[in-house]
Amino acid sequence: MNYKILIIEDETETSKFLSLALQKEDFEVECAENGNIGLSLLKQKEFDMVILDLKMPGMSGDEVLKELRNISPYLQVVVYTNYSNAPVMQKLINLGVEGFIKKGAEADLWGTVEFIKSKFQPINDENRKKLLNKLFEQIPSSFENEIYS
Amino acid sequence: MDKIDLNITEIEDIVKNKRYNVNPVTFRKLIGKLLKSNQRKDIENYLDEFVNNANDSFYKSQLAIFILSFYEKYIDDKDKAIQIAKNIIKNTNKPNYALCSLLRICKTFNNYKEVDKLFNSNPEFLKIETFDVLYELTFYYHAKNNIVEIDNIISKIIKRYYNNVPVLNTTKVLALKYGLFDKYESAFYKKSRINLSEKPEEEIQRQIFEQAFDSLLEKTQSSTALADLTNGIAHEFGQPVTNIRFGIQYYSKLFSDQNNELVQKKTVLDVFNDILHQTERIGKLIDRLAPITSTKSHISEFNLIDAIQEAFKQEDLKLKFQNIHSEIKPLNKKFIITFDKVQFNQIITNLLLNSIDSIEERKTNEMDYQGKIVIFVKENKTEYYVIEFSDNGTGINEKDKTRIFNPFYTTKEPGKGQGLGLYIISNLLKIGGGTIKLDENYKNGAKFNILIPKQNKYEL
Repeated sequence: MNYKILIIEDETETSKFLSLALQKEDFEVECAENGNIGLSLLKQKEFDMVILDLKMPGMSGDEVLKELRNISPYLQVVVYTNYSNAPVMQKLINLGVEGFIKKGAEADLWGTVEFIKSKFQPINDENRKKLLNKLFEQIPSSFENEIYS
Repeated sequence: MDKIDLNITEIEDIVKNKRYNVNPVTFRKLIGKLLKSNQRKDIENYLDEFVNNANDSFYKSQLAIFILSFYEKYIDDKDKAIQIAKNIIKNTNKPNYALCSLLRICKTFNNYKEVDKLFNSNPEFLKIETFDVLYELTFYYHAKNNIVEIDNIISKIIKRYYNNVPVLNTTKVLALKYGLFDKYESAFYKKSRINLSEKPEEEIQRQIFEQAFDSLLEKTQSSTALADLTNGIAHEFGQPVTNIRFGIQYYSKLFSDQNNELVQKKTVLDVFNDILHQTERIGKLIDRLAPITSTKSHISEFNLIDAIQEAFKQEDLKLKFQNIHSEIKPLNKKFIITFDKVQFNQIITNLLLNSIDSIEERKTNEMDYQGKIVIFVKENKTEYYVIEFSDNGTGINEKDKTRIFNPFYTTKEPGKGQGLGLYIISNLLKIGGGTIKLDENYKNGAKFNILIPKQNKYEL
């Protein structure tokens, strides 16, 4: 089954290349030029992920995000932005954003595609072990003794 | 159309049969619908007739208060609103709303003649101690240069509303404005922190809460303006850079993957064109940002009417194409200013292009519509000229009103505007000692009032 991705982005040039690249990796992609179009598409069809631009004329990205969460609380959302600002990030995380994609001088098309692919890959055994080891490293030794004793 | 006709018949029935007992909510809905269909002149005529035939008991009703608020907001002839306000005050034992309305109208015209008369004959009104009236009274005493009374009012508000946070916040702003903050600082600080959860002692109109909120918002906004600008610039430059990078990254992978030696000439040319287009975009942005940061200015003396005409001539083609009627008044008088002529041209051109865009937008939706741009120049006190710039385009949405001067805020379609025009205008004027304000009472389109000093106030 192919995953379906919706790109909500006012810059059609940007969304054109991103959708071409994602289609090359067998994703099904639809683009919406603004929040309203995006939300109405979300009401009609099922998507597996939304890639959302935060700065758009009319309905802004976080307004769209709030509405989107009313329609579909568990949908994966990746926001697409080129500035980082702690309070804004905090707000976005609270609204259930899964990841950030960079724009501007650090924009990396194929890196972005890899990142999106990784969001759909279930965690494998090797990675799980790595993660667990990392966690144990962080536990103070005395605490560790308590656990094992 | 049918629905509107139906509304008119119903209003006609109310007016002709003098149904003063009509439910204010129903009446409000009827008027609201007509207002949306832009039949303001009709409503005005009906209401005039309705009010002219009214007796004293009408002025005791909620309906009268609604009609007053309507006149205050939408009817240009403010004498009518003043008359209704006075009648309500005379006939009711709850004059607060009408009194506030009267004070507000007088405030807008900076002429408190009617209020003076009222206070002379009814000094008891000066003893009203609810926040809505006290708030408006500070402006009244401000016009009278009576700081002692303003001080009294602030102290009264603090005593009475010591645990009402929104009221205290508004009062804090008032105290700041009149240099009384230090005196009451401890009160604001201590008292606004206790009993946050307690219910307000008085039932305050929602409007006042909004006012408190707005004034707070204003303060935060000015401090975030710079952050907005830098964020906006980063975003605006980031877009074309992203597009260039994505384009190159996409095609370079495509070519290397397919090991395609027969690179299609057309594809390559498309990529080149895309990149050139994006760099042009960056260049334009730099040009647009230049006037904000440029420190050089070339001040000269010129007649601003001539300069306005020149700016209009530059956009003559667009004006003719959209069949826009333009009017600049008065042509026979000279208004000499010392200002940077290039910057002045930018101010007028920016406003003009906005107007043309909004007229064009309205034109696509309305048949038989004639676009119109009117500029009226007059003297304001001795130091300033006022340029009233108005159009009959789509106007500015309620929600956009507070944000139009923010950098990178645009309501236009993607690619059509950067949201810098009004930001630049307000900055150029600020630098030169002037201001620009949106006339919020103007309904048939957008109207800006520009205050420009006769003598430029650049720090040379």
